[in-house]
Amino acid sequence: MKTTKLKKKTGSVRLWWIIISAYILLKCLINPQPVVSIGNSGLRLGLFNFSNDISDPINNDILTIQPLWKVSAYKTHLGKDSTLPPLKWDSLGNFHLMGTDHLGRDVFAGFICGLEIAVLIGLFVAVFTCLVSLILGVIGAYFERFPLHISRPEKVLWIIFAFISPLMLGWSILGAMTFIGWIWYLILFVGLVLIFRKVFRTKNRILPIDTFNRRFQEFFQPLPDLVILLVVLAIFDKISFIGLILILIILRLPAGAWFLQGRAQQIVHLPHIDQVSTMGVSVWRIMGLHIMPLLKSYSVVFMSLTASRAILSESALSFLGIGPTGEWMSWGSMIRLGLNNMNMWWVALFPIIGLVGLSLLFRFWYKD
Amino acid sequence: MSSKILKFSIRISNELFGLVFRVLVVVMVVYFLAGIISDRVDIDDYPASEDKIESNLPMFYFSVLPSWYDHRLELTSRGPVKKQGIAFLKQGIDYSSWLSFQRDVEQLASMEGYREVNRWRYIRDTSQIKAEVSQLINNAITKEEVKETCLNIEKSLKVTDNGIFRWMPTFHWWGTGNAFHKDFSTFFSGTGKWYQLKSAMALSFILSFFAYLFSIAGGTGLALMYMQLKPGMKRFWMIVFNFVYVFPIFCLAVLAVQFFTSDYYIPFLNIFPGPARFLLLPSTSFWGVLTQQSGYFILPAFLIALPLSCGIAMHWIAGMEEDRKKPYVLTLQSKGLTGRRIYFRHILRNVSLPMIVYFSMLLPALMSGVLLIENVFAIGGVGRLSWQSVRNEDFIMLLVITAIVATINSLMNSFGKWLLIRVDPRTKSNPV
Repeated sequence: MKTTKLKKKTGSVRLWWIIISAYILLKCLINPQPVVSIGNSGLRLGLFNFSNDISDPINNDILTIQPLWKVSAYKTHLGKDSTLPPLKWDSLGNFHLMGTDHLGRDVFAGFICGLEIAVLIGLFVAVFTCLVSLILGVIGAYFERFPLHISRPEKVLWIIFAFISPLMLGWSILGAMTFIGWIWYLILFVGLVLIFRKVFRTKNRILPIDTFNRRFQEFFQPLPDLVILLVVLAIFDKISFIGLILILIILRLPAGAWFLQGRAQQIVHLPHIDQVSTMGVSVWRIMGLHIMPLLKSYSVVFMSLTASRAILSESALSFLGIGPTGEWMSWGSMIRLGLNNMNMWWVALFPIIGLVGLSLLFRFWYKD
Repeated sequence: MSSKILKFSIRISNELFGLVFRVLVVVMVVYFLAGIISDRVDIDDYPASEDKIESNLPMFYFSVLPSWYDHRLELTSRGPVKKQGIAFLKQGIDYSSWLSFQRDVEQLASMEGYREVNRWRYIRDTSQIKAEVSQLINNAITKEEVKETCLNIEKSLKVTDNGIFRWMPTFHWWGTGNAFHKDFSTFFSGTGKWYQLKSAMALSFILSFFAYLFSIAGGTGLALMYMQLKPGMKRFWMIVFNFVYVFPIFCLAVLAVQFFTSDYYIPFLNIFPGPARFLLLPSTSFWGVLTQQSGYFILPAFLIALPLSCGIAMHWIAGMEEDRKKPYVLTLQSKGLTGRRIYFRHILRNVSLPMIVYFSMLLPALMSGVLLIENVFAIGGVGRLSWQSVRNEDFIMLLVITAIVATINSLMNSFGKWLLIRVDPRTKSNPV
């Protein structure tokens, strides 16, 4: 039994390394610019070059490592043979594995671009959502089992904090509040809490930490992800790639926190938690060392589902032509191209296969 | 009896009030942030003339901002100039002196040989600007008029208020003259937007109604079919369900449009009306479309329903497989009932309890499907309208759509809970 368990554990970790190394290998094989170049402007890596603006290569580089196949997804070729079906050579002598679109752009290079975007979005969103929702869920479950007793003035302080924090968030979006401002604000709040705990000894109130995740979930539940994304993208008219990832993380957080809190509630009632807490182990140690490791399998399940969902959300957005990836060569925008040019089945079919394949990969990963 | 009705009505009104309140809070928060963040004021001439404040500002009924923040900063579009304005005001410089600073710098930059002074408009550190200005003043070669403008610049960089109280949040009530009020009051009063939304809702309602019906019926049918199969076939169909469930709706739609609505590839498969037909619908009223053109909605509704019905089928199957091992099934089998009868009459009923909740929570997924499918088939429904309003930056339309979708979803959830209690009264005290 033990050996099979060990195998499973290492398998999930190994998969990450396989994904990362496969990504780097892919970039070494096919890339629009040198993989590594060292020159006067310093070291430049050609690993994350999926956006539209690929800078021209500098000639006076000391060292360059060229990819095996240098092909760009954005380079157009207009002429009589601009639109080619798969496995064809054009008049310039270039081979097109998946054909070209109506502007003569290589579909295979676009496919690789879309793969990069999808994998990056999926992995980033999955990992960060899982980490944050794990912390939120464990905190919620722990403080439901062992409620935190506080004094009445401290509760008032928390309520004030809950009202002012969104305001501060608005200020920071506006530019009125900076990072240093946030640090001052948090120092002030933590200091006040510590002072209140020293001064007011009668603790007859409970801090409702466990209901936070439920409220958070209730707030987001009635709206579909896509509608929220549309509203957010309409508010911030130009959003960066990292901004999109952040929004996707925030969208998936409530569901994750609620799901993992439900699972953690079962673990919190196990006898070893009682023993540990009576031994006087600190709260954070119990959460980190005695509850979180038991949630590993659930978080892997959640992570894989989140990854596939994030990829689908992103491709839906780029299919509508909204968001940062709408103008890039992502799978969604390629499928839109296929819809607009119905006589070119190859433009839409390969991205569709990629999208479904990646979603299935993530789905069966957790099933295994 | 009357007290029961009274209690019931109080409960319903309480729930509705809570719902409306929640939706309002969402809308208010979104609009409050939107009003602050968005660049709704596009002014080419700089500095912006102050009479535009009345026509464009403020954005919302109220604002809570630090007292140093001047609302006229919103007249400047986002960028380094606005960042400088915020930085200057934060340091205690007046808004009007910042404006005069900008004017003076522009004047100086227009003089011959001083073009590089233009970068002062973007520098946020006042001490750096002051040092450069004093360097210019002390220089013997500089002309008198340049020195004059430099002195003016030095004057406008003076800090007027440096107290800690300028960081206190101040509340402003702007009354009904704000942009949100103007937009919102004109939305429902006879403008085209309200009629546009009404016809869009009719089309979307028909589409989502068909899709909902197809997905529930299809999912249940697939699950019942699955339970009659042999183990080998079950494995195959499970893979098929998983495959279709992860298939994105818009991919499915693109393939269907290519193969089933045109005779480019396979002529005899061209059986459904294509995307262009929806632009030529003779009427967009609810009954007109439902009675005359409902055939057009079959393919889009089927496409929305296909992945959803696979999800439903997998949920049904999970419940049925669990229930199949219970002793009552053994009893029924020993009494001589056929397998089909056991599934249709007994297991289906027992498993249906959690499925009612699942059906009521299906609407968000259905709505995102509708949004995408409407854009593929060019159906002028709510999804297409929200896409257009994102493109045109029409916040009010987007917010009204958001509020309507949230309300319908919440109502459906409440309805599901209510139905569950009707079906099984035990769940009243112990919800599923």
